[in-house]
Parts: sequence; structure tokens; C-alpha cells
Amino acid sequence: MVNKLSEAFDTVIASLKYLDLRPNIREYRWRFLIQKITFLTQVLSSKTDYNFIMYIAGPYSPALAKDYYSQEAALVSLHTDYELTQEDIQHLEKIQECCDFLGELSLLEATSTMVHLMRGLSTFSDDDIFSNAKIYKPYLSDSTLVIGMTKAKKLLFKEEYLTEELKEEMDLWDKIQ
Amino acid sequence: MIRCLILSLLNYFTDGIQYREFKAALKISDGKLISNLNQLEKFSYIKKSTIKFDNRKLTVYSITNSGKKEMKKITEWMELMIQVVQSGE
Repeated sequence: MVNKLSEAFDTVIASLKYLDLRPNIREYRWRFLIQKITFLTQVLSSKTDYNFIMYIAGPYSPALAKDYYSQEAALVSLHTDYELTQEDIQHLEKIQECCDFLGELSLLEATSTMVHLMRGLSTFSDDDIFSNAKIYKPYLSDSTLVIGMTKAKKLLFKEEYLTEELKEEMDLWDKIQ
Repeated sequence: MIRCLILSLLNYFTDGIQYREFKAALKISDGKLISNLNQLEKFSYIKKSTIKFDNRKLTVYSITNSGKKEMKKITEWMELMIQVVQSGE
């Protein structure tokens, strides 16, 4: 029997279903993926309200962990009443394009860490963000963190940032090529 | 004190904590960390498992039911200590 789901976890399941992922929470890899995907989705769409913290395994939400342990049946069957909006789908496709869920998990760890730091320390320079990431994740290589930062920037980029002035500049560069 | 900290962290991060994550967060020597983890494992308060992460084997620690019970005792004991200290103020 499937217990009543929280609205936030309903959204999580809908996202996983769209991404064609069938999580098995008995495996560390899947729990890791749920945490990081939910974090990135929440950053882009604000449809869930889990509290993600950086310390130790960050970005990590103990409340989300509690949800998937208590709602394992719903997760396995991907049972959800939430219907994704067109905006949700766009966000999920952006995340999917940026992150290879079946590839290197360290890269997803680096990307989500960078996204968390870039939002929290928005006035910091790239070098300072990198130094902070190195404190939290000293075991991740410099190259993994740099790629993670590039992916994080891509994820956080919004169309409205592309001003007319920037568009003109980019058009000029395109013409040179 | 380190053992209390390890137990409370594992009680909070229910999915378990990788050895390398412990090392980065606690900033203590490998020797100190391993001996404390081993001792907690010997008491059956925590369990160790090996996972595959990016084709590498990593060690992950998680709390057991007896570890959770012990953590509850520690919390109750600490609450009592706070009450005693506050009543003396």
C-alpha cells in the first residue's frame, strides 16, 4: 500500500519518472542521485522546499532522505499524482543535458556543490568559490571541480542575462568564425 | 567526544557518510579517525560497507539500530546536563 505522499516528494517522483530513472534506495548510488537531482531541480524551479545543507555530504537534505525511506513503495512504482508543467520539463531537460546521471558521479557531486556555493556566495569571485569547494571536497580533483563550475554556470544561466549588448557582441564573434 | 560527534553525524545523515567525507569534515588524522570508527563498529553502533563509485571502491559508514539507541541515551544525558547547569545559574 502506498501512503499519502508529501507534495514535494510527489514532485520528486514525477521528475525521476520523466528522466526515466528507476531508483533503488537500497543502493548508495541511487540515494546519491536522488539527492543531487532534487537539489538541482529545486534550484531551477523552486517547486519543492527541502532544506539542503553543504556540510559533509552536501548538498544534502535529511528531510528528503526521510521521505524516500518512508515512501519507498511509491518511489519503486514511480507512483505520482503530480503532472509536470512545460516549465518543469524544460528545467529537467536542462539538467539532463548538463549532467550525465549514468556517468561519473564525482562530476555531479562537483556540479551540485558549485551550484550551492555560487548561489550562497554570489558576490565571490570564481577563485574564491573554487577555494571554498576545495575545503568541502578536497578529494575531488581540480579538473573535476573546474568542469563542475562550468556546468554549474550553464545550469544557472538565464535567457534574460543575454542582453542586447551581449547578443551583438556574440554575433560579431560568430561572424569572425 | 569524537565518537559522539561521529554518531550524531551518522544519525543525521541517514544515508551514511563516506570515509573521505568524514576526513574532510572532521579534519583529524587518519589514525584517530580509523581507531574511533573501528571502536564504534566493535560496539555495533555503526556498520561499514563498501560501495562502487565511479569504478572506485569507497567505504561508507552508517548508524545501526543500537547506535541510534545509544545516540538517544547521549541526547537525554546531555539534556539532563543542560538542565543541571541551568538550575545552578
